[in-house]
Amino acid sequence: MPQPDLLPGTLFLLILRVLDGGPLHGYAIAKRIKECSQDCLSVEEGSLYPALNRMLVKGWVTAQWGLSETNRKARFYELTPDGRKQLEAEKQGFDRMVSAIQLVLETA
Amino acid sequence: MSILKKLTFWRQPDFDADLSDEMRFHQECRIDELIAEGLSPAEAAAQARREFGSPLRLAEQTRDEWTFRWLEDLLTDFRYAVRALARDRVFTLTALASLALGIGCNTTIFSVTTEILFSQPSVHSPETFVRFTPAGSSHIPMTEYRFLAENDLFPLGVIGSREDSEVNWRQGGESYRLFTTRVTGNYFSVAQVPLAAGRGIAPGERNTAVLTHHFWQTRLAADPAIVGQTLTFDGRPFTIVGLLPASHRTIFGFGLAPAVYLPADERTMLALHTRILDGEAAPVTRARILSAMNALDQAHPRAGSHKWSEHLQVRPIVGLASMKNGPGKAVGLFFVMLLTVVGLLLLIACTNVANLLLARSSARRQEFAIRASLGASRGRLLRQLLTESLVISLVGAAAGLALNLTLTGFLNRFELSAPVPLRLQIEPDWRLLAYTAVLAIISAVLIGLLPAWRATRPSVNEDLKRHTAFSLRNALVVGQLTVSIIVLAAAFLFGRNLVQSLAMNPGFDTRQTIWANFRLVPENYATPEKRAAVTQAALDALRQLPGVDSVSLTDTVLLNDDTTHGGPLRNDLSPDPVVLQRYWTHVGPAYFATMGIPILAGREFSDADQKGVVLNDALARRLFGGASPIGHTLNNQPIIGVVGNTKYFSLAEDQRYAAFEPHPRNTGPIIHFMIRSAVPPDTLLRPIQQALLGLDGSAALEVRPMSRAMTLALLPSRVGAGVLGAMGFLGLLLASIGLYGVLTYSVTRRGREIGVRMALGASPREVVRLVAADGFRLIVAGLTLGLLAAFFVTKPLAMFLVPGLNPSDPLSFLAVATVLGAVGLLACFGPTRRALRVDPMQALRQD
Repeated sequence: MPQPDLLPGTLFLLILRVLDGGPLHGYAIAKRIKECSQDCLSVEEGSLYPALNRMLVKGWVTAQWGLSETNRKARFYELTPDGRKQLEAEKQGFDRMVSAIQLVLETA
Repeated sequence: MSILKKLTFWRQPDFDADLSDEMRFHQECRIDELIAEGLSPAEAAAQARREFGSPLRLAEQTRDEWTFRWLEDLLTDFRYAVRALARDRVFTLTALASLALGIGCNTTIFSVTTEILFSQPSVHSPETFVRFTPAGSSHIPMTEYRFLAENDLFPLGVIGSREDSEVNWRQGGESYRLFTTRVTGNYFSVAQVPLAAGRGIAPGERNTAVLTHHFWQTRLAADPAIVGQTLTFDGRPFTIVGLLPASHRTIFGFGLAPAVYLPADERTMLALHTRILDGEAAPVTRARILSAMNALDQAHPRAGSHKWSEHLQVRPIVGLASMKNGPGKAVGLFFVMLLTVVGLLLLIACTNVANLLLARSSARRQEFAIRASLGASRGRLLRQLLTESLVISLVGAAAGLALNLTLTGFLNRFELSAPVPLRLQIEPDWRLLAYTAVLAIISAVLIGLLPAWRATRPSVNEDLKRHTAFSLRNALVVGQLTVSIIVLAAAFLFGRNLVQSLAMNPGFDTRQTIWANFRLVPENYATPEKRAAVTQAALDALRQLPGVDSVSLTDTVLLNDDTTHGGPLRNDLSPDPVVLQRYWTHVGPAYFATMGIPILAGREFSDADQKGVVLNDALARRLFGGASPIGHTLNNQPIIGVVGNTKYFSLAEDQRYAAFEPHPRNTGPIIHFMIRSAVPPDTLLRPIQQALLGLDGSAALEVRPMSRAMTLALLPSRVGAGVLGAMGFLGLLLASIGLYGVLTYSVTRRGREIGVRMALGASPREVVRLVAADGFRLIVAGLTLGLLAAFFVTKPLAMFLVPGLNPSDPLSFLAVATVLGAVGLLACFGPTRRALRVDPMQALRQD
């Protein structure tokens, strides 16, 4: 099944939402997005890690080295209070956008 | 916030290691998953790597999130630029010297301009002060001032001051003439002049003084306990109540530098300033002042001529509006012209450097080709080259700034003493820094953009079309020659102006005349009889000196004092009075003979004359046409003579009307003796001094030849000729360097061609023709364009030139064209010789 491109600007929202459930490492984040979207959305490594680093710079997440479920050294990302606020803001923005698009689709 | 976080990046030493750990972990997870799906470990690893893409790119992108990419690039560019410039030392030094001169000259003129035109007077919020001139008079009498001040016509205060008053200072048995500014009692409190020590002159005080820093430092040895001490001015003791700071600037601006401030007295004529509400509109201010003037007309009607409320001028004391009219306008225009000329000079310098850069970038084409093939984008290379020009222009600007500080330091020490003391206090400030920065950036773009654009042009067969690159350089040289001609033409005009002013006959003799300014202590000569006695004694004493031809006296000295009168003139031939502006002064017996002014009809005043009037030729013709005015009357005075026209206040003035009346010889305390010498004037100075001081040792005395007393009259010509001459010379130098460079470059590039031609039997003459023709073409094109441009650009200069000197005079252009053409040919000489030395064998073996 061909995969649709991620809507521009939604990568941060997805990462933030996934991390809302608790700290995860990079691979788990990508996997979780894939699973939740029923294999519809896949995040490439080439965008995931720069995005995570930008979120680190912005202070939305923090990173901590820990042990993975397979007992390997992995880097876990965790939401900060700022990140949670950002998640709320982006979610609302996204909801408004989607409902607006739907309004147009249904009424026009 | 995020910038701060970014800065912490540098504190993560294992960023790269961490990142690769994370990448490895990611791939291992994927491998595990693929194995779980049934792939062999080797296949899984290969698949995971494929999916992952380039780890290098990922690492770089991730790193970019943390760093200021552009900043890093900039630093790299700077390092690279400095290295590249350090390698090419001759180029760098030439470029730096050109720019340093260009920027140094520009900023210096800029500093002088801001100091003279835009320096802030040392008063509290100068923008809320206006100067006003009732009836068009610069100064009004104390009585009228008092009426304005005491009737509450100016709610925020009106102050009066006389900027160029003189006083006799008695110190240790010697007398000196000092320039003072006399002020009304409320001056210091209304203007809120900052003081270094003590207080200002207070209302009602008659014997207090405030010293300027320069006077205190140079004449009173910077005595720390000066406040409270007493100095003797005009024979009276004055208590020093205050000391002004070194940075003090008068409310009149233009660098006026009095020695002391003294209280105005009943006879002082006052210039008027008033404080207005902040932000009050100009028409409102004017209306308010006008109504005050109407009240003044009611209380003190002005006899004879205009009413006080007529010809009222109001102008701010700071900002551009202060230059709308009055003396500021001409001075302002003069500086606009100077700034234009130095701007052109900088343009020439930039063209030179651009030309050098162009030559250099053609030589570096290989380097750029390699970098481009290694993946550098055009923008990246462009930025690299622009960084180089920015480095050049920044260092050039720094050197220019150093030149500025040296030059302005020199200007600050220079004091113009006659007829009023002027001193500049130029200090580097933010305006200078901002201006230098702007110049640096403009030069960076000017010198860098075109060569960089060309050097990085992506065309592959660029090298084949090198002729186009060369013609761009040609265009630059032609442009440079054009601008040089404009600068040179202006410089040449001012040079001729100076020569002409020096040689110009002002209508009187300046070589054999001496001016003795004798300033008595007024208290010692309280009565007219006493003053008449000392005047007569001085005349007698001077006449007896050996070497003295004749002696006379006057109350205004030609080309040093101005006096204009506008009252009605009545003569016995016509019933209607004529109203015209005229120079009007009192002169002693034999004045015209002493000054070498020819007597055209009638006679001049003798010792016996108490009345009568002498006209200059212009006034005689204006009033009587061709008829002889002798025997007629002017304002009921018999006209006894007509004398030749002269210049009265400035050499460039249009012919003015003048009328002379006999000097009453009892006016004091200032007496101007004019002495005609039969021997070289310098040998008479000492005897004159001794003779006059023998009469009264307490008088302040200055004796100098008239030829040296014309400083102010010649100042614009001198400054113009000096500055523009220097600029013209620099421009010429830079333009010839540019021409030389272009021709040399062309010879170098065409070495092979020349070699082939010589090998095929071309004679040296043909080679010379080949090379020189290029140079000639450039020179002719530059001269043609430049002369055309100069013809139009120099037209507005007429206002600064003496009458009779026409900016469009073909002689100037011919001279400039000849000089520039000659220098251009000289610049062709070197490259041509070089072309002749090309060895055919070596040229053919090249590449």
